[in-house]
Amino acid sequence: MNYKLKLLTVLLALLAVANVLWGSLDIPVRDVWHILCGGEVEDHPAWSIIVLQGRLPQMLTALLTGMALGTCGLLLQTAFRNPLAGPSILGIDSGANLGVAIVLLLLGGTASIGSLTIGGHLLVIVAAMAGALSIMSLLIILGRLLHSGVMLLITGVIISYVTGSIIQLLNYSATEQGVFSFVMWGMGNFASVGPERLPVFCILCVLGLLLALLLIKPLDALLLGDRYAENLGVRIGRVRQLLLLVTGLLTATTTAFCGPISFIGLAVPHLARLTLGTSSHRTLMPATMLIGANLALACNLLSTLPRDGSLIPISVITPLIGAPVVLHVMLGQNRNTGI
Amino acid sequence: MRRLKLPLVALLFPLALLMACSGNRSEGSSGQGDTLLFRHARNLTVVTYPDRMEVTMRNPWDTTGILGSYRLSTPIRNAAVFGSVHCALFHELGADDAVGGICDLEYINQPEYKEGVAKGRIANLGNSLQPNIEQIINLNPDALLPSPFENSGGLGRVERLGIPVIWCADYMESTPLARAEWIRFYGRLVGKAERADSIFDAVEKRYQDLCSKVRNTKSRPRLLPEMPWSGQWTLPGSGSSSAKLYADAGAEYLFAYLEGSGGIPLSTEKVVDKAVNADIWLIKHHGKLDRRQMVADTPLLANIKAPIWWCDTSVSFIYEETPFHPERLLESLITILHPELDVDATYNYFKLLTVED
Repeated sequence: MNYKLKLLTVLLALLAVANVLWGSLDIPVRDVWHILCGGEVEDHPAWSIIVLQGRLPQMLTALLTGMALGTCGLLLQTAFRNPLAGPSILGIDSGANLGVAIVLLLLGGTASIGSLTIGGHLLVIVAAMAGALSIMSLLIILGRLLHSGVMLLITGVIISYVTGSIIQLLNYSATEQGVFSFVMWGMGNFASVGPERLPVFCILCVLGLLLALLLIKPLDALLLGDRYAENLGVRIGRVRQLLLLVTGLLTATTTAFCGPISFIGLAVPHLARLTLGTSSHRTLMPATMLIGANLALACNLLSTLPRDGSLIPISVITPLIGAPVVLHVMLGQNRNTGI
Repeated sequence: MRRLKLPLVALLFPLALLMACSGNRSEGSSGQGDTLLFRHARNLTVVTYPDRMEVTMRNPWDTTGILGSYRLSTPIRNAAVFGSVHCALFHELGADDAVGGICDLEYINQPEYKEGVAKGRIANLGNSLQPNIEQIINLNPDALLPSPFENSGGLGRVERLGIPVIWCADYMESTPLARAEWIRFYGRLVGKAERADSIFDAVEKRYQDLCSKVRNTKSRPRLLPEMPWSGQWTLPGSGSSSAKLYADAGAEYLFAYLEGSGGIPLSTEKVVDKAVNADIWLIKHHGKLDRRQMVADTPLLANIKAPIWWCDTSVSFIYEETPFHPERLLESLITILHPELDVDATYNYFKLLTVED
């Protein structure tokens, strides 16, 4: 195993532990340890649930979200040969946004199908998932008609604009509470996956990540160009469809459960390339997963920095880390092309 | 010569301003004005004359500054009202005829106004944050009554129409009675001074009677308000009128230590640690509430064992009625917090959340 991958694994373990030990509430380390060993702190009955049902699932959610979004970015950047491609560029997360906007801004947070009425975060998850998967299906259909990757990217951007304008229209006539809920959802939150929903979240993410690992070989072939890849026996159309399915599944899952988390998908593959200095997906894919997880865990830790009990929204922190990376890449490209 | 000009202008400008101010005063005073004495409101100064009133509003976000200073011909006959709260107020004052246009029609519950818009008697001015300027010009109102918010940047082009913009900053008063007392100003604006005074006197008396009843009790149930959204729990600061209302209702507000007069966001972790000791949990929520779903969404809430009293704001008139009738909200809270006082409440905005809900 590459020593850099080993270092990233050690860092991941440290950050995971730090995420359980450190939160917005000061709980002494020995008490956290005591709780993790099955004990309870007599004077503070709430601490057990805070650690076991709050911090542990939150840590796992951040870890898997970071892995998933980083992987999505890598898949898309390779497939479309575009260093600025990311999960948001295809409009899949815009679809999730639209689903949530319809539920929160138009329906007021509850929906009834026959005698079944659902509301709260469950409805948000269902709506985001439905929105993201609808856009993904649309892209898969269009992918068959449009044989150029660039055209598909442009379609994704157009979809984002259209969904954005529908959301603005919904926002314009929504209630104060509806707008507030939608804004809060848009800030991203790793704490929204409790133990009850964690298994579903984990299964979907792990499934998507495993499928992504199966794409390593064709992705390496794609680096050599579509024609060369075809000569090697890679069925470009099918790979692109599978790739859309994987990125769609991962983006839909993470956006539905945690809200839109920007920049991780865009920045992490570049960080992985800069760290490893390779473009081989055999090493790049695991590194992207590890760096994505590390970055998400670090952002989750940073969100608890204000010691007055408030939180910094995740979507505020990720661009602060992601933006310099993207700038670095763009400036690097500028230098190479001499523009 | 040019060097001389600047100091001369600097000297003459304040002098000219002084003369202009005093000139205005003597010109406008057709008789002796009466200064309206406010017993609770702090951000408002009103001097009334038989045919007009002079109003100065202190800037609630910068109390050294002025939010607005107006000389208004009264009563106004054709106002553009921007919010449902003030529509409800004008309706209560019996001044429906003074409302010529309204914004945010979808939030207004008064059937008279909805019908007025449908029949074309009242103009629909669109969204309150971006009102329809053509409709406003067409309406040619005596005054616009929007609600301000900090650093809002004003109403843009609308303010340049020359129509007086009366900022309804009542909600920035620091106590419930102070906000309610603005009804006396609004009453004078529409020529319903007596009615407004009598409504406020009744509000004040009932509110203070309820406060004195609560003062005689020793128990102070620990109160937890609101619920988390996306991991953040926004709680009223100790200087807010909500915190004042909780104290008046005889509650021990668990987060009374939070400084500030607005909403303070805290992490769920931080709130839950303290909220395990709550006796009453009070939630305003748009739509149905389900405790099991709340815990599924935010597992940490399983720690809070306090009974939930909730108000469904999608069907309740709590937002329309209580800003100018805080005694209704107070009696509603006292019924929950101190049932032993048996305050004979007419209004009860909250109900106990049960499994059936």
